[in-house]
Amino acid sequence: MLTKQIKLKHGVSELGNLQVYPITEVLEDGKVISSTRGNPYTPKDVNNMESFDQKSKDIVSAITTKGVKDAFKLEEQKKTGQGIEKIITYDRTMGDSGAISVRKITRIFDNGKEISKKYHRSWIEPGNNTDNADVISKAIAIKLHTAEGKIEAEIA
Amino acid sequence: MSIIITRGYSWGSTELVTNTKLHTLIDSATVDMSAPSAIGGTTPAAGAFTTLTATGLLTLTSGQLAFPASQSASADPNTIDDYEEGYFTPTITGDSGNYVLATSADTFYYIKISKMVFFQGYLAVASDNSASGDIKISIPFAAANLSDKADITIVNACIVDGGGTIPNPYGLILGPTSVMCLRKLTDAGVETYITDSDVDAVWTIRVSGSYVAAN
Repeated sequence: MLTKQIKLKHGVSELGNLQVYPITEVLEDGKVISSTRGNPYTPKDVNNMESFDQKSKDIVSAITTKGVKDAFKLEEQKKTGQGIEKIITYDRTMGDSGAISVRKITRIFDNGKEISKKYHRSWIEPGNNTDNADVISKAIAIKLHTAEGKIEAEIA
Repeated sequence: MSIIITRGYSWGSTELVTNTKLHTLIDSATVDMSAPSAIGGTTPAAGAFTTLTATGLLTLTSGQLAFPASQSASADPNTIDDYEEGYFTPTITGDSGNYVLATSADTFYYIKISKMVFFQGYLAVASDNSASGDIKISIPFAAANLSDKADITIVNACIVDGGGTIPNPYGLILGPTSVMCLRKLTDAGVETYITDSDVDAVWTIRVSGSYVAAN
């Protein structure tokens, strides 16, 4: 028997916005025989997320606190367009096992023109030390990986 | 060169069509180039297309082929939908605990083409942080979960200065995980996991391999 189900994958962009990827799976006798990933979408209003799943709400609640937003602004490097500049940003996707895949993006600009871009990936697994993680990845890890974060999410 | 313009546009032979106008006509439309030609000669040097179809050979004479920073996933088995290369910092763990890597040797390099991931690198373990049990090394992307065990992948691995003899070591990736287990194979054909008891607190490993990622 063929059935269809939609699963959601989650990510957070360089700008700190939640991105939700719909995965459409077709199953035959309970076994996935087709999987298609759709384009990501972002909540228009983070204060009204009724149509989103709990994980999306957890992530948004983690990255939109005043403390995280302030720290993210401090971490953010602004391009001046003058001379040689190195700008580092991060984006993230969440794996099925709960691990967070972090992609560090290092761009080099010459008078505002991008002349180089490099990636450096790493995982934050549940239980990993997040002291050296970027602000948003750390906030997500605390929310999704720690007992305190999970309890907060359940109360919310 | 002949151009077929869809979306209701028609090609008029009596009207002078400038590059700018041609650009406007073909922008976001479907263009079928049925004869060898080059965009940028008598046609605009740049254009944005929803679909570009070439019935002949598509040649990048001195150009490149760029993909978006985030994969635009395709379920079509004849479509290349991603390219990315970069560094990856793996972790080496046991069933519990982990090994601490030297900062000068803690990185793989990877290239991902669609779902195929190639990676290589050298890791130097500087200390043992209470690692116990089977040793696992994380990989850049989660491995695919394929039918009939087709996701099983063997990776070249060479363990040096481990403190003992480890016969025929190799990495084993099983989808849908994001780790590579280390295994060894005796001359008698017995296969077992490499564990913390096979290595000292300080050792190194050289790795190169490829696998199919989940996306």
